[in-house]
Amino acid sequence: RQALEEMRALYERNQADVSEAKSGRADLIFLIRFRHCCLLRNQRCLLAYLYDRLLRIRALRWEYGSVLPNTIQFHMSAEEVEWFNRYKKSLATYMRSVGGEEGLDLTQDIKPPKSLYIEVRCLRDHGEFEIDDGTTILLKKNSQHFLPRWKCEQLIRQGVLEHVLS
Amino acid sequence: QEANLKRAKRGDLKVSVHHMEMERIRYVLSSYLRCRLVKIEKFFPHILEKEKSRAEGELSILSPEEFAFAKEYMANTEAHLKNVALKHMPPNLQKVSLLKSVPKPNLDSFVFLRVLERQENILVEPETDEQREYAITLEEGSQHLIRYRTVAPMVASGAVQLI
Repeated sequence: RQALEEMRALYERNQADVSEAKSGRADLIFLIRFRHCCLLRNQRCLLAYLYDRLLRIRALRWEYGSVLPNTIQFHMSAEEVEWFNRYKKSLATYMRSVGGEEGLDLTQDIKPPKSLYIEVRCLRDHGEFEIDDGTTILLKKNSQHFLPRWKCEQLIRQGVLEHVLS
Repeated sequence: QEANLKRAKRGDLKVSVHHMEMERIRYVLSSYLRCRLVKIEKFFPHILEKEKSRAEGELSILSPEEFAFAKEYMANTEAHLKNVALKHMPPNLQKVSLLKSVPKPNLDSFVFLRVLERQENILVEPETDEQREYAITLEEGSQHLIRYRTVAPMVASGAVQLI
């Protein structure tokens, strides 16, 4: 915001000088050109900063999933939240269109699978968790389980489960 | 009874292996599509520009869904930058060319390739001032490290394969 103020101030001063220059005072041209360069630089820096923020927010979707933790959302502007929502929707539409009726969740399977089942330890209480054959598992802090890999992937990323490498 | 047990276990193993294979295929597919999306997001203005200037009979390098995704990504990002910053700037600075600001893919980077169809008289650009451009022949089955730009049309036609 400060940068925008500075740009506005610079521009206004430049404007005054432009009209002066037009009326014949050629020596002001260098000053005008200099201020224009400052303005361009400010514009570039601002856009680079904002774009970099967008790239980080995009990375969040791939790391955390569709719902951002509140601590992160707190640091995002309303427009950035809107950008995130639109990005997430665009991504979901694309994933749905891939392969078959349900689509393919591209945010799963980030690493090549080594085995079907993995040993996981629960890092915090997460309540009940249902696996494919219908049984429910109670995920209590520090309990260890031997579960199908694909079911655990998301929970591992969220930090609820921890892959135990023996 | 032991025979029954053996049969059950064998069936189970087949299921596991099949399952494993499915997971592996899913991984490879996912990884490939993810890579494409990352590239689209990285070079979006250039990709959309290339698509716009595509000739009538030429095949698109994007799938229709990827094209839609690319357009949405561009619109989303442009609108965001406009609303948050550009519209508050002085009038003569409110437009910015994303095509010029976003880095282009480096077509001059070196790539490894394997030759599938013999290519004759490929013109290679000089690297230093003392060299002049010269012609080489790419033999079938040979492998090379060369600038992408030199072999780009052959990659598209399938005559060489990038490693």
